[in-house]
Amino acid sequence: MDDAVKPILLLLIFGLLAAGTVLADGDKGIKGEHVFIVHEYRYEPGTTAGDPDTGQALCGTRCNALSVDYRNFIDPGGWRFIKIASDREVTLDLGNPFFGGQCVCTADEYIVRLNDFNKPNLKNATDLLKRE
Amino acid sequence: MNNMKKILNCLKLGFTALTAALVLAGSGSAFAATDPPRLSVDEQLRLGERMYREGILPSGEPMKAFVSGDVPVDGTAFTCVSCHLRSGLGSVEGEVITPPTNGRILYQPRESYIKGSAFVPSYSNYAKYLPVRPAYTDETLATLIAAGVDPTGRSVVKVMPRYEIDDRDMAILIAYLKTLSGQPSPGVSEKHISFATVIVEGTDPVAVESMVLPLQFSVDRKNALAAASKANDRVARMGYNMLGDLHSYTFSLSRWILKGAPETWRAQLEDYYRKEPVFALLGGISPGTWEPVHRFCEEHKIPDLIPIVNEPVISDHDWYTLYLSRGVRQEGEAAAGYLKSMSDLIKDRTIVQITRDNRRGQALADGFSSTWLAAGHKPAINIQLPAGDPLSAEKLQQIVTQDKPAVLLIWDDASLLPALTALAEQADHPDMVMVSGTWLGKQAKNLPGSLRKLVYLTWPYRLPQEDKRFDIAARKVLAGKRPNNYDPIIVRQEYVAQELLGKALMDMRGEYYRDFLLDTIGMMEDQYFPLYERLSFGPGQRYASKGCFIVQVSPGENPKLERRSEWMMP
Amino acid sequence: MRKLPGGHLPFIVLLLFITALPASANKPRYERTVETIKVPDVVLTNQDGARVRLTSLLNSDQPLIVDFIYGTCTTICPVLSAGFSNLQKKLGPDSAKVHLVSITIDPENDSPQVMKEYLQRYRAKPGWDFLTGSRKDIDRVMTAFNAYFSDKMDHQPLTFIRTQQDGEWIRLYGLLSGRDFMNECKKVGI
Repeated sequence: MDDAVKPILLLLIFGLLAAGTVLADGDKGIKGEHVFIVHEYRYEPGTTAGDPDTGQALCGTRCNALSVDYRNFIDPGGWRFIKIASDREVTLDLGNPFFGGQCVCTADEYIVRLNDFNKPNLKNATDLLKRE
Repeated sequence: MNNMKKILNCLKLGFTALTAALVLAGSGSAFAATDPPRLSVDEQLRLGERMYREGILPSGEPMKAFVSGDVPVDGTAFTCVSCHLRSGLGSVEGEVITPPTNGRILYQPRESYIKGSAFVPSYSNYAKYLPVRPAYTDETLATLIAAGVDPTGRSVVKVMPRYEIDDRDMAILIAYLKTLSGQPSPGVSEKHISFATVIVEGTDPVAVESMVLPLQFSVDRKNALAAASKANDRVARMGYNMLGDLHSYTFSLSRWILKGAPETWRAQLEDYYRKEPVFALLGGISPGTWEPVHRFCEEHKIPDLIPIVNEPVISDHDWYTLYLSRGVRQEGEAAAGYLKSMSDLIKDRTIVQITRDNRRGQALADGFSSTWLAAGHKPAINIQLPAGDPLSAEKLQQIVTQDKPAVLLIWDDASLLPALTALAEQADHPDMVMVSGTWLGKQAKNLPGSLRKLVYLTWPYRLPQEDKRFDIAARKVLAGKRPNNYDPIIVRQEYVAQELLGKALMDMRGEYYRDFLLDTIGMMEDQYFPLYERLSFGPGQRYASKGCFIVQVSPGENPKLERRSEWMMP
Repeated sequence: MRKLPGGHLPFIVLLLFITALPASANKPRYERTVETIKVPDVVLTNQDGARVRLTSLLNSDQPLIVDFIYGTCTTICPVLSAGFSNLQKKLGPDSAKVHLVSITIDPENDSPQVMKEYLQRYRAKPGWDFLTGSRKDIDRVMTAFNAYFSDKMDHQPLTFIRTQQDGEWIRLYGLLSGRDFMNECKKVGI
């Protein structure tokens, strides 16, 4: 391979890999699985006509479905459950084939990571960057 | 000063004795008036048991109770068994400790835990300390029940009702209390508890091995601890700290194999039991019905902890068998529960339920129909698929064209997928399709892309991506074994069963009574183990997992199951 | 029948003497506080299987009493429910004028059928509702009332009596005698 092309190729590959990692990290670029614990929910009918109580009940189901049970993350042991946002409003389509509208779920956002506090310090700089 | 105290004490005792006397007299003493017909001992015990468990007097009338001092309540609402539990060994709930009420313990004095201290320590707000007291006698016990005053003059009416019962009925109740958890349960000796597991011949050998593995693992581990404790003092001390006297007990596990038709199982079970009267049955597996074993346990009052069956016996009053869930039926119930939440949107439109004509399909369809109909909705149109005949695209299209359902339920295995995929491509298809997630098995997560928006699956377990964190626990029992040789669901189910047994035995504080085993499980907190999102318990509750998720498969390259409902109860 | 030494007379005199003494319980028998509670907007289900939007239910003009119980409860709930039963009996034909709302803390087991049976056992009259819902919604309601228990086995006796429309509630912690409960109700005009 040409000497000129190699470094460009390497840069390209590196760049794509880096881009890949960033995209996979979720909207804040923070590594870890993003989960929500929902506090409140409300139904936004939009252009849908219909019983608001039905909408509220269905949004309850939908927003509670988004919410996780924190004990599923705490009980097994070995995981960190870190709050990164309070009272974030997450808007979801109600997704019901018989009823339109959207649900606004007010939730706290958490990321879940392996508890690696006691992992030995890594000499490699790239790895250090990846940990945050 | 001391004299004053003595006088006050006398007054207190006198006052309470007088109250007791007046109460007892006031409630009418039939004893002196007429001579009642002599009842056999068995009949007396039966009547006593009815008073204790149902709050009904021998006359058939409800017992009259007063709670919190002056609030009247019928015995049928709230009676001895409510707090003292079926075994009579008491309960703990919130801040209230209910002490044992069985004769064996009542007729012994309760002494202070720490010599010289006036109280037995406890954490309850109301029974601040379990009080030191002398042994009860028939008379002082009657005073307690009727007037709410214990032999030291202390009043218990803040939490315990007092019951207006005449002398004769009181004698019957007290005679019953004397027998409650009086004799040791069969299968328990001072150093050993015997168990058995029931295996129905004809069950898939992989399933049987998957059920037996965690069970044998925990029995072997217990026996290993007992042996190590015998050989090594430090192990014995550690074992005693963790388990008390239980640490030195050995367990045995017999396998009771049932052959032939279910009608013949009862005789086989009686035979096994006669040869070895075990304390309880653990696990157990059957490819079909479990009813004969369930009935056997009810009649012989043998606890059966968690048979691994798809079709548990559904009952709201049977006592001795604890199941992990209501079986596959629960998925059908969950589908109905989900549709119930939008029933006013579906209203007069049609629901079609296509069911494979086998036990599993029937259970799912029954689960759906019973829940749907109980809510007052009009029945679904039911179509049976004969066994062995995969659902074809033409047949499915024909059904949909004919009945035009808003919602289509298909209770079948993964062979339904080709026909359903073809249907989804048509312009005219139902608005919603529901299938059983567990019956689709491995195909559930890999649903064809065109189906993912249309199809909702019932999923009676924690989502796989969240359950992965619990894998380490479950894999303990697979140590040294090839995981591929075992059914991962069954291994986890039996793992959970063994964890529950261990917790229960530790909580029983050395009182190994069959009824108390189930009472203890009924007092357990919600548990988070592998497989099920949540297990919950309570007095008389016999199906630990009560919920199910409704999920869909996410779009795109790495499909995952995503919840569309919370862990819902139908 | 007990034979009391010296006959009955001295003890009857003593009985009168003792009842004239001040109440032996110097410490209060229950705790009473006034709270402001924001009822969460959740949709629950009652014993008839009907959907109930909690904010609508608890915003009525009627006098309102709320407690937290569950169907298979052993010790605390029977006492609380006997209290409700007794109140309804005392109200007689006016029982429906006071809205009694029991909310389950065991939504897993307490289906409408279980709740209906429970109410029948306590001879509930119209005006007494029992509510269930999803685990998360029930947790929300408990939290709003400052009555959250992570597990039903840890629950405590709590009764809430609402005074006015603006959300002021009397919070009663403890097991009240019939007389005490009636007094508290009278204080808010029930």
